[in-house]
Amino acid sequence: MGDREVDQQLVVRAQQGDKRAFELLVTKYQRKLGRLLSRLVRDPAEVEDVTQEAFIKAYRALPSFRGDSAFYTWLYRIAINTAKNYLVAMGRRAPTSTGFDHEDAESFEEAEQLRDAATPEGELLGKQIAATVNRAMDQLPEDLRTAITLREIEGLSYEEIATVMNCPIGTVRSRIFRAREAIAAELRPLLGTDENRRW
Amino acid sequence: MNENISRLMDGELDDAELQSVLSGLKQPAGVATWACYHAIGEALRQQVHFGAYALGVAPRLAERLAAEPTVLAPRRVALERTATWAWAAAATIAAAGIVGWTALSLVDDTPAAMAKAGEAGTLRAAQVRPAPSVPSDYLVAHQEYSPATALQVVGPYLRAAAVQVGDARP
Repeated sequence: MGDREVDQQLVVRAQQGDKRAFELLVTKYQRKLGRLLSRLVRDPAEVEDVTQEAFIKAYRALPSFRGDSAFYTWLYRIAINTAKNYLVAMGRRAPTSTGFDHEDAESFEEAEQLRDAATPEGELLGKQIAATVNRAMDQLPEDLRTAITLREIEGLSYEEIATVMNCPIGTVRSRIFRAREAIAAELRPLLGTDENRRW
Repeated sequence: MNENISRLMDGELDDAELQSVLSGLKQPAGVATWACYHAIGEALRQQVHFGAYALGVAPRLAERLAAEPTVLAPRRVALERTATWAWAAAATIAAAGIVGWTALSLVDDTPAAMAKAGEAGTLRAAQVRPAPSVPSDYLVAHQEYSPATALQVVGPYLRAAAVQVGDARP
């Protein structure tokens, strides 16, 4: 089961009335969508408004989502249209092109260009998250660091990582999980994401 | 549970495990882990967003979502595929049934029916046979109007002609 199938499962559950499933999709994609919308709407507060509006529209339109495209691609189209409508309503000219197509939307990573859309608090938090994760990575044992790197940065499957690292898939699964838990232990105090608290 | 969330993120869960993990993700602890693991991945890929809102569902969005009527959509894709296949099969079976039933209902092979059919054939032959009082030269003269010939339509316009072929060859 790939990433798209995981999203599809969550969409199906949301379509059956499970709002928490949709919230998991929001949690997964709201930052990615915010980055994309920052190219259209520069003001951070407006980016947040448009992002939220896009998710609400997507939720209302869930019954019409048939799974012909990836959920994020569908969400992306809704978000772009929402942003354009917002700009028109505000008396600003909506760009005729977003400068990148749907495929680019999947891998858009131009964080440097987006700094001017950040609040000072947001920028500080982002830097702290990056520094904490990098520090935690440096403290990981070599096998855990390699496994999580191959997965998160290189995008390899467990089977491919097992081949590269010459170990069973079960070992790969365990290493990636342990790496995530070790980093999460450093990150949770910063995020205020106590496991026993909903935020 | 967290290990299964990790596998879910990587798309490495099978369908049987998926249901239990998604149920577990309804708990706040599961949602927190889900959000934290995604944040780690984004940081490693240098995709940290410097936006203003938190890593979880923003409170204002959570409130708006809570106020939305619950979506209840039918399982459209699965149903449509099943329905298309089922309707096609049902239509085929129905068509074959109607044709077969019609054909069988027209065939009456009881002895009484066979006897009737034989009798009808004899009667028809007798009706077609010309009356003995009609002279044969009359029949010959009017043969072109007989339905037995395929040339019935063009028969009246046909004329016999004889052409002498000369030595046209060089």
